[in-house]
Amino acid sequence: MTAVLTRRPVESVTGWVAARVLLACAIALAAAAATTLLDERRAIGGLTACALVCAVAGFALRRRCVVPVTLRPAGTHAAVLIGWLLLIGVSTATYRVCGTFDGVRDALFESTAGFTTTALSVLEPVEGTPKGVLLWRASTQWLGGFAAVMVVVAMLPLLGVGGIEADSAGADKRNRLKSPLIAATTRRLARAYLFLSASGVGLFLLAGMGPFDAVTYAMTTISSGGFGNHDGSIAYFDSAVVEWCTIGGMALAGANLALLMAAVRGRLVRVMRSTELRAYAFAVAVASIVLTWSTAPEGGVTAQSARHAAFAATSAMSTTGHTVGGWAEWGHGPLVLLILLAGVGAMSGAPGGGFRVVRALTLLGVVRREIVRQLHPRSVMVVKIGKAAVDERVVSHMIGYQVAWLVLAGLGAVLLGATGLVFTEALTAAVSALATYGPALGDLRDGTAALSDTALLVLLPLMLAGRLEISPVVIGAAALFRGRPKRRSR
Amino acid sequence: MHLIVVGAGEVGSYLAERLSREGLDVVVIDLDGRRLGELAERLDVMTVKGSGTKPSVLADAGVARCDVFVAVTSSDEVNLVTCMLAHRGGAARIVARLEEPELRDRTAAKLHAAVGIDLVIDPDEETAQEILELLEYPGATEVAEMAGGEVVVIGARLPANAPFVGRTLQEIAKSFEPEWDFLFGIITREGETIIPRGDHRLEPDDLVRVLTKRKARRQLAELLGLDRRSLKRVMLLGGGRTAELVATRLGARGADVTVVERDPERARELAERLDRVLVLEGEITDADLLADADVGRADVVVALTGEDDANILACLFAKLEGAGETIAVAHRLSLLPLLGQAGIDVALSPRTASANGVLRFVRGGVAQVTTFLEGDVEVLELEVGEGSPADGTAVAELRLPKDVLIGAIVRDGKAQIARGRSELRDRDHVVVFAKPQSVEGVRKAFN
Repeated sequence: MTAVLTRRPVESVTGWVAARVLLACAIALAAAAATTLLDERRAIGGLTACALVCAVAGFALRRRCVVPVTLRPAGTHAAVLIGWLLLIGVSTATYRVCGTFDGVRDALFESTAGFTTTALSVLEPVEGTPKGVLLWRASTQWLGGFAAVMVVVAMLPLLGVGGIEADSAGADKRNRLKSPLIAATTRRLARAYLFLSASGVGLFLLAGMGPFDAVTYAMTTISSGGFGNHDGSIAYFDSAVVEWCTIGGMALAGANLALLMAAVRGRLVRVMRSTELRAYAFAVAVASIVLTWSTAPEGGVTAQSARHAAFAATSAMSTTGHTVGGWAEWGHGPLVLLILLAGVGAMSGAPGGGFRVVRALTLLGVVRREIVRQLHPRSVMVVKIGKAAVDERVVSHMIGYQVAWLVLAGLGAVLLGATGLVFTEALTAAVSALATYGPALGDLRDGTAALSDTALLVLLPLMLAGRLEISPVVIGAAALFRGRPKRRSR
Repeated sequence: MHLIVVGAGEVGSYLAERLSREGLDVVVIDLDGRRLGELAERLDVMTVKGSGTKPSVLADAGVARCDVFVAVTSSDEVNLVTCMLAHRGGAARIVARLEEPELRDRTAAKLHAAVGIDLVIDPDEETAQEILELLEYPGATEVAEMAGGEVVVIGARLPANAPFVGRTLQEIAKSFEPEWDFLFGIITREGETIIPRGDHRLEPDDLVRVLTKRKARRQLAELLGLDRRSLKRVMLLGGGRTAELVATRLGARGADVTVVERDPERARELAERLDRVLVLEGEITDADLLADADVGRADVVVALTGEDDANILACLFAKLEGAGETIAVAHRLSLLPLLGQAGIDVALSPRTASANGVLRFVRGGVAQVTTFLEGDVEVLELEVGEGSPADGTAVAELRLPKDVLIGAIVRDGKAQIARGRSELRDRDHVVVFAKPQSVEGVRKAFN
């Protein structure tokens, strides 16, 4: 730390990440501060102050810190975790400075849910909150969605961290953003993400939203976040067109960014050949049909009930968490299906979260292989996604990841149960938080009102672990607690 | 004619043998002196020890006056370099063995032109093709498609209950007037191969090669007493390149394919590359493994490792277990007569497959050549040249060496079985049965 104060640049991933995190926050906060001009300058002081602090700190760090030539896994994981905690910290401070929440706990929860793109909010009521703060709230999800893709697609594969690259690079080679450098990959990802967000804004404007709503809803939809500016989420608009646009936006949030860009460039054949995309589309379609059929009101399927079913299916699979209401009348079956869909989650390299389609496909391949091995003990089988073989190292990583996921979900459920939630609520809330989805069963289907203060705190690490694909949280935390290795004298 | 063969492996030495028997000057180049010695003892060929990638070695072999240069080592890279040197050294025409698909297909045409390659062969690919053709005609021992598939030569051993048995060829021919759809070309009985005459009477266990029009092939298969089998379950013993090619194509047709391979790494590679194919790791002669894999329920079992003994043993076991058809790939031709007696339906050797391609090229003007494993009679496809003795002549009046039989005439893509009265015209393709020593005479008649 002393080196930061001297003139010489210091090699630090943490510093490099923190500088970028702070500058991104500064830009978003400045935009939010500018928005207050349209809103009788409510909260302009707080937002401006936070923006300034972030900008100063960010610039200072940027001048001092450079990326080390070699990245060490433990250090980089720790940097990712610290970066994420910094994002949450900045946001918590902003909410407190602006007076949006009374206590630190609510501000912390809202910030964590925001950056982990989980549709769980403790802001009550949403209406009446200053527009600047609402924009910042949407920005947390928008930045979180992008940062999550960055972490998984751009940074961790560079470390050769076993199997994480499978998420987009190893397992389904077609979905790779081909670029060996962090900077180049970041730029490509950013371009894709901006393009998607701009299209989202355009879509919502065409659907008849006002400019402010169009921008914020596009931000929370494309990032798979799920925050809304209104208490009823998308139901507030009561418009079929808006709902269809949201369905489209959420479907994009769950799709691999590289594939989307290839589709935009007109390479449709290549895109359609992706096994993961087919599986994703197939799952959404089948789930929509099953939900339409199982939630049909008396007197048969109506256009509205079918649309709501498709909405719920897309929202769950992409782990966005937008709602259109109507859940109150749904039975347990459809809701369990939604939690399952969220558990599988989005495609690899997508802003959406969850276990991810590519991992689910790999595990299905493992199951198939085990069954064939029972029949033919001498058989040699390779797990494949489509026609591409998955490396054994990646397969074993995915099995490990699944176990970690289940352990976390179980642990979360036990802790939530200890706070007084019944079994179904505790289990589905834990899965939903890990998948960064939001809604859960029972009293939790409409939000966080039924959650005790302790339960909210239990959800925080779950959301963070789910968003960061577990290993940065676990390895990073371990690295932080173990502390820095002592440097040998030169 | 001066020919150079680089690589005295299985394909190279077989080629050298075939070519030298036709009285051509053959030089064989190989690194292995002992192998060359064996070859020189057996055949009338010149040998040069050394690498084909060395200009001095090629010069010793007389590359400057070489008419056809054949590079058939097992390495694509060596073959390419050798061909390039031969091209620069003045070889007139060049044949190369290339296995890598990307080096073989049309996109590699520029490379071929740069290196001077006129013909690319791949023994594995050609063996795979032969196996697939055999599978299309279940029960046949040999299948060769001529004239772009319009004419098919089917070889089969006559079972005792075949409709043809006990009748003379004349009787059979009469019952199929006015238009014949097929014609008996060669008959092998007790190791002796002849081009039969009308009074020849067919007996059980005769190995007949019958030429047929494409559309009549199913009917012929029935008349030959060949049973039809579905191709649902196929078992490939041995996981070499040939097996991979066969498995890929059969898998695409929807067959249930099982491949047995002994090398764990290769087995894994196969599992990675092949879709919907079950790969088992183990020895193909491991009876327990075969029994566990239900070899008896397979419609076809093909044993295609490089080891004849293992192939034959595995096929025998499969037969005992009740497998439908067994095909063993045999590399030593001396074993062939044994296989038939042992009840192994079919045997073929990879070297003949690729040798045919080279022979056709060496002879020029011949569109296609097929040779059989048993008996030295060849089937040739020739084009009638304008102004040649055959142009405008009826088949019966054509003066041909003995031991030659004109089987079919293909005009404008339509095949016709040749009769004595059929008149030949220029640009007709004819399919001819001939002994090797008569080949030269046949060519003279048509060009």
